[in-house]
Amino acid sequence: MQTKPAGWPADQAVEDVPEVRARFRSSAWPPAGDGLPAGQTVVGEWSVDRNLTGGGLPGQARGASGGSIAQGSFEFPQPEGAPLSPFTADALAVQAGGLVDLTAWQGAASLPLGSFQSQTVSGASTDGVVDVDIEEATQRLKRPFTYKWEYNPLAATMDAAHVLEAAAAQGGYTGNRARLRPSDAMVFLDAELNGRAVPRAGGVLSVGVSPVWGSADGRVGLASGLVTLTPSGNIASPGYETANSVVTFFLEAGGAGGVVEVAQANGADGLRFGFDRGTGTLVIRRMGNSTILASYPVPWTKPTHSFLVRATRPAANDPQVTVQLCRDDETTWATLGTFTAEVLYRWTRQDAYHVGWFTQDHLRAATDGWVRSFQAYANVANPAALAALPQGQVTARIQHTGSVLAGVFDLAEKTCWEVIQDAARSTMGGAWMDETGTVVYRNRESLRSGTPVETVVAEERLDTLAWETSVEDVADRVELSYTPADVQVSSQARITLFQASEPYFVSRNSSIRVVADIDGTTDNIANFLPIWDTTTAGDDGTRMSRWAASTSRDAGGERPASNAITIRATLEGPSRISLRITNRTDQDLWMVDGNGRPCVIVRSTILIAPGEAQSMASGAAEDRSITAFSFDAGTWVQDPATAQEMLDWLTNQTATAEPVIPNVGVKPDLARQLGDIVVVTDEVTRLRSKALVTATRIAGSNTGYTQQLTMALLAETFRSLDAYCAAAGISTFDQLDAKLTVEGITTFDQFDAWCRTNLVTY
Amino acid sequence: MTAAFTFGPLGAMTALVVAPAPQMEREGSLSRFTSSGGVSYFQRPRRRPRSWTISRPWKDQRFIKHLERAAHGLLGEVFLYDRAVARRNMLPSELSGLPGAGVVVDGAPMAPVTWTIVKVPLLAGRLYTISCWSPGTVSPLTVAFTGPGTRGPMATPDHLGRSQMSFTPTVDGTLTLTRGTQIVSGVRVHEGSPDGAFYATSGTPCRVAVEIPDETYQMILDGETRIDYQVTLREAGRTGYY
Repeated sequence: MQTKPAGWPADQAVEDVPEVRARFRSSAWPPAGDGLPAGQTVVGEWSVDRNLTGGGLPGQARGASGGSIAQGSFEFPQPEGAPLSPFTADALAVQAGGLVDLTAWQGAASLPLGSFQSQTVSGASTDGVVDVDIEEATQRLKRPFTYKWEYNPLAATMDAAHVLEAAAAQGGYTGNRARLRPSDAMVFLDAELNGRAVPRAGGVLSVGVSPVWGSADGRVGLASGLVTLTPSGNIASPGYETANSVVTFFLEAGGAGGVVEVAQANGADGLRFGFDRGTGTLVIRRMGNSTILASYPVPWTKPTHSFLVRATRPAANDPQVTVQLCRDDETTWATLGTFTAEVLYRWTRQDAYHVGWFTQDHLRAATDGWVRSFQAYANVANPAALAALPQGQVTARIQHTGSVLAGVFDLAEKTCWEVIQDAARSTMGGAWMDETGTVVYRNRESLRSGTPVETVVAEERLDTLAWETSVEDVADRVELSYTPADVQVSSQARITLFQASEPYFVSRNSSIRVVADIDGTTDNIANFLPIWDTTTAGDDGTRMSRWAASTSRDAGGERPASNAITIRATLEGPSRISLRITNRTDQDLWMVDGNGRPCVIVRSTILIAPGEAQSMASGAAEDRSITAFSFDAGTWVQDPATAQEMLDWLTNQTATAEPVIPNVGVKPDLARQLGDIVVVTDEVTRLRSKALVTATRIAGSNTGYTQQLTMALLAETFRSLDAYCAAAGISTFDQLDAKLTVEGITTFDQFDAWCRTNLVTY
Repeated sequence: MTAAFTFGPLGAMTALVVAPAPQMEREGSLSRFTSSGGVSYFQRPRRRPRSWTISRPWKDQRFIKHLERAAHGLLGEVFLYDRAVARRNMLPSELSGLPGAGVVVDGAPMAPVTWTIVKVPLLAGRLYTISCWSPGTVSPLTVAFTGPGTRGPMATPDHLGRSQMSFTPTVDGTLTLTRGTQIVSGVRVHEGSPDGAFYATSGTPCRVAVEIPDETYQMILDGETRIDYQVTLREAGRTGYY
C-alpha cells in the first residue's frame, strides 16, 4: 500500500473524485495555463490495469507469481481551434512512444498512478479529445543483460537476488542508498552485500560465519553471518596512513534485532562500531573485548537507516577519538562524542573490515538482522562535502529469493526484464513495476504471508463476495525439477572450455575472430601457448590454452615459429568467448596440428556448468496419479534444500483448493497496490482469511472512479504463528502449550480452527 | 439598470437581459457505490459544469448582436457574469478555501488557501466587498485594482477573525489579491455590502462556449424584425483562472 501524502483525505462516506493529470515528460506541451504548469494536462476518462499473472502455478498460487506489466488508457482534451495531429510540423505534433506519468490529485496532495509509455495515440480533428493507450515504462529494462562475475572460493555461492539486482541496475534501477559510486576516488571498499559477499571494490579476505541473506524494507541484505573484506590497493598512502587518520564508512542497517557491527582491524586489534537496534545506541568496543568504550544514543524510527560514520583523532599520538554521525537524509555531521581508545591504534592500508555479527565475546545473536551497502572511504579531504551528498534513491526493491546459486546460466540474449521475470517465475516469487516506478521483486514467502496492511469487511467495502475454485487447483502428485551446478576448479588451468572442431584459416599478416559459446560460465581464460611448447608451462600440453598451426591444411605441412600466431581471448559474457587469432608471418596458416586435426583449445581455471536436471516428487506414484502437476525451476534453483522446500510448499498448496476472489468491485482507494496482503471478512459466509491482491483495475472519469480487485486467499503459515507468538510473548513450547490449554484446544482440528480465527491478522 | 447577466470579452462586457426564469443546469452527478451489505458511498465530482439556456421572445436583432458574434468565434474568449452567483462569491470554492481545519470560517473550520495571487474581473459602478477569515493579528491580504484608486492591505481581523473591505470601481478592471505567508481562508469577493457570511460557489465570471442561436421567426416586416431567440451558454475551461 502506498503511503498517503499529507493532505490526502481520509476514508469518508462522501468523498471528492480525485483529479487525474497526465504529465508528458520531455515535452513542452501543453503550455502552462489554467493553474497547471507546462507539460501537464487534465485527463478525461482513464483506466489502469495491473495483473500478476503467469508463473505456471496452479489456482490460487498461480495468481501470485510471475510478472506484471500495467496497461491502461486515458483521454485528454484537444486545444480549442488547433487540434493536435501528427501531421503538423510544430509543437502541436503528437507522437506515440513518449513517456507519460499519471498522477491523481486531491487538492495539493498527489498519489502516483504509474509511469507509462504511450503505445497508441489517436484522435480526430473534429473530436474534442485525444485517446492514448499506455503501457508500463519498462523500456530501460529491455536492453540485453550482460553479467560479469569473478569466481571467489570464499564466496562461491550467491542468492539469486544478486543477479536480479544486477539486472535492475543495468536498467538504472538501484536498491542502494550509498552516496558515492565504487569508481569514486575516495571509495576503496564497496560491498553491496545484496546476495553476494564479493565487493564491487575491494576483496573478500575471509568469511567467518556463512552469510545468510534476508530482507528488510523490501530489499535483500546480509541477515546474519560475518564477512571480512579487504580494501582495494588503489588508494595513495598519505591520507590513509597518517597517525591521526580517520576511518569513515557508510552502511545501511535494519532488521528486527541483533547488533550490526563494523570493525576495522589489523590482526587481532581494532575498533568495533556496533549499531544496536534494540537499545537504540551506537556502541564502540575494541576487538576481542566486551568492554564498552563509548555508547551514544541513535534512535531507530524506520525499518532501516543509513549511517555515515567518521572517527577522527585530534593529533598523532593522542588516544582521544571523536565520533561523528550523519544519517539518512541529513547533510551535516553531528558530533556524538569523544572517548579514549585504550590503544594508540593506527589505521593502515593492511587493515581488513569486518561486517556482520560477531561471535566473539560480546555474544550477540542476530535474529532477523540486516545490513547492506557498506562503503569505506579514505582521503576525505572535505568531510562537509561528503556529508552534503544526497543518499541514493531506492528505485529497486528486490527481496532475497532463498535460492542459492553457484553460477548463472542461459542468459544469452535475454533482456534485463526477461531475466527478472524468469527468476520470479522460477523461484515462485513475483516481479512487477509499481506505481512509483520502482522495480519490485517479492519472494514466495512474502507473497503468501506477512502482516496485512488493511482489513476489508465485505459488507462494507465489496459490492459482492464472488469466489471461484477450480479442479486445476488440486494435484495429487507434484513434481519439481531443478538443475544443480557442476563446479570444476583447477588451479593449473586444465579445464577445457572449448575445442575447435573445424580448421581455421588465417592469411598472412591478418587476423580472424572466432566466437564460441560455452556450456556454463567462467571468469577467466588461460593464456595461449603452442601445443608443442612443453617448457613454458612445464608439462605436456594439458595445461593452459593451446594452439597449433601448419602451412598445410592436411597432414604434412610445416610448423611455424612459436610466435607466429598470437591469440587474444576475451570474455564477452560469462558464457561467450571471443578469440582473435593473428598471423604474424608472411605465410598463410591453418590452425591445425601436424596430423591435420583442428587445434585451438581454450582452457580455464574454473568452469561452472549446469549439471543434469534433477527432479523430486511427492504424492501418488506416477502411474496412479490423476491430476499431476509439474514445475520446472530450471537453473534458477540449484540446491536440493531449496528445491525440497519449494516442493513441500507446492504440495501443501495443492492439497486443498483455496478459492480466488475474482474481480470484485471495492470502495476505491488509490493507495492499494498489487501484492498487498489484506484480511477479508464477511459475516454472511463466515469468511475470515488473509488474501493477496493479485490484480487491480482502477478507472475513472469526472463523475467518479471505481476499483476492482482480484484476491487469492492465503492459508495461515508458520510465519503467522511465529508472529503471533512473538506478539504474545511466547517463546517456548511450554508457554505455547499453556496458552493452548487455556484456550481449551486439545486436538489438531481445534488447533486448525483456532488458527483460522486468531492468526489472520499476523 | 443592471441586468441578471453580463456577457462579453473581459473589459467589454454588456448587459444581457433575458426572459424570466432562465434555466441554469449542471452536468455530472454524484456517483454511488453500494456494498454487498447495502452500505452506500458517494463520490462527488469536483465541479459540475453549468449551462444557461436563455431565451428572449419577440426581440429585434440588437438583442442578438453580441451573442451571435461570439457564437461565430469573432469575439475571442467570452465570459458570462452571473449576478446571482456574484452576490454569493465570485471566487470558485477551490480558491476560497480547502477542506480540513485551520481557520474557523463563518462558524465551521476550513483549511487555509495555498495560492499567492488570485485575480477577479470586476464591473464598473457596482459595490464589491472582499472578505476573508484569518487567525492572528496581521493584515491577511493585499488588494490591488487595475483601475484608478490605490488599494493596499486589508484591515486586521476583528474578534471573529474576519477582515472586510469594500469599494466601487469606476471602470471595468481586474482585482488582484496577494497573500504572502499569512494563514487565510474563506476568501470571498462578492457584489454587495459586507454581511459577515461565507458562501462557496462555482465562481463567476466564467468562460462560456456559445452556440449559434436558434431562432423562431415571428414577424418580418418592412420596418421591423421580431424573432424568438434561444441560446445555450456552456461553462468552459477552469473558472477562477484568467
